[in-house]
Amino acid sequence: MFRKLDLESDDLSDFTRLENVLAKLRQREKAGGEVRTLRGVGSDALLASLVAEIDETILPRRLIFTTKNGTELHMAVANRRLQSLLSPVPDLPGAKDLADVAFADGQDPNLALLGGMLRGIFEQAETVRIDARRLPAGAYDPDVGAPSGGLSKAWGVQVVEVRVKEPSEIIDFFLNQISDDDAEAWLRIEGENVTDQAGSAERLTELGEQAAVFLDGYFSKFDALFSADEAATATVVAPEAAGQTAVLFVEIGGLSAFVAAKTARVAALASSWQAQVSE
Amino acid sequence: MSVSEALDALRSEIPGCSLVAFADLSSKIVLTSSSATNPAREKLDALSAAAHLVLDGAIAEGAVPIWGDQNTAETAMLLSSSEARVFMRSPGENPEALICVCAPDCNLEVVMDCARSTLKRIVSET
Repeated sequence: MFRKLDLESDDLSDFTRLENVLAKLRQREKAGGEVRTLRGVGSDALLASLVAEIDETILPRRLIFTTKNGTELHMAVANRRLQSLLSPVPDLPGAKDLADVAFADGQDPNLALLGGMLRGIFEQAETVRIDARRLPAGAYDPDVGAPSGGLSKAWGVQVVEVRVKEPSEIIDFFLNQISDDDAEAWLRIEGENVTDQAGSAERLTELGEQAAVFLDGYFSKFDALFSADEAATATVVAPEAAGQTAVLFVEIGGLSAFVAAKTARVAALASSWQAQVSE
Repeated sequence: MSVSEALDALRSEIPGCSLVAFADLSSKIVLTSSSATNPAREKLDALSAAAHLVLDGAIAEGAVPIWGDQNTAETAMLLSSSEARVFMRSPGENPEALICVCAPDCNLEVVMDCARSTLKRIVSET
């Protein structure tokens, strides 16, 4: 296990350049806004995740679900109920008949039609992005709509409560499993600050400079590397020789880590990261 | 074995691999590819542009100080919760690279081993 340095007693001014570069990341995140995706793979899991999303929505919201191929579904949700499918609707059979018509309750016969439509859309979807916007209060009676129990029954899905891991849990678990057989040093970054580190003091000083150089190029080219709606990303760049050091940079929810990984171990480390964020 | 046949063999060898492409890094053009479905030209263009960035462009240049010599990047990965893209430079004299697009939870060590073998085969047989 790495020796962690005491941040209180260390001079962190060595990270000034890195922190200036990281300020660009904050600007990018602010411009992009928070983007979430439905959890799960396959139509059943995505439908169950959608029901869970409705069950967690209390204030009136227009929830917009967008698939990777651009199909958009707008839904009025409030008081943990699906109140209606809102315009604009996708160009699918029956969609226009459902648009802006309130679901009376969990037994509303139109729920089955909507469920079939959603299943068809989700079968083709790799990822479904969620965007929540305010819906004017009073758009629908607060007691109107289908609660999660009715939706689960009508759509034949089972909603299993899954505790979503916080980004800090994911990144801390990942960093804490890195041994000195895997990497020379790492920096944990929160916003524009280095909040934890491991490795020798000499190596960390170099690493701060190296991270600043790498991240300058990374942020300037981010749009050519990843789509803005990715919840978690990892980037690896490695030289040919197995005995050398490779870059591994991971990001999730405003947290990131810059790792000077050993080239022979970087694929295994990257697989470990992917296993966590793909859960 | 032609390059196309080598790419087909590589794609079938890696579980969850949806696309394999062979790109020219200097012109940023995919020379040939293997995919279960016909990939859009834009997707291939984006892959070859990314290959250039991570193996020769700004991302690779930013990474070089980590290993501290003049060697160029040989391998790169762009990983997200929806896919894993692996880029590997050809050992030949031409500035070419292999690109694999795989499932996000694929075994990256296996992908790299298979890609490296395929590149050696392509260089030795062409």
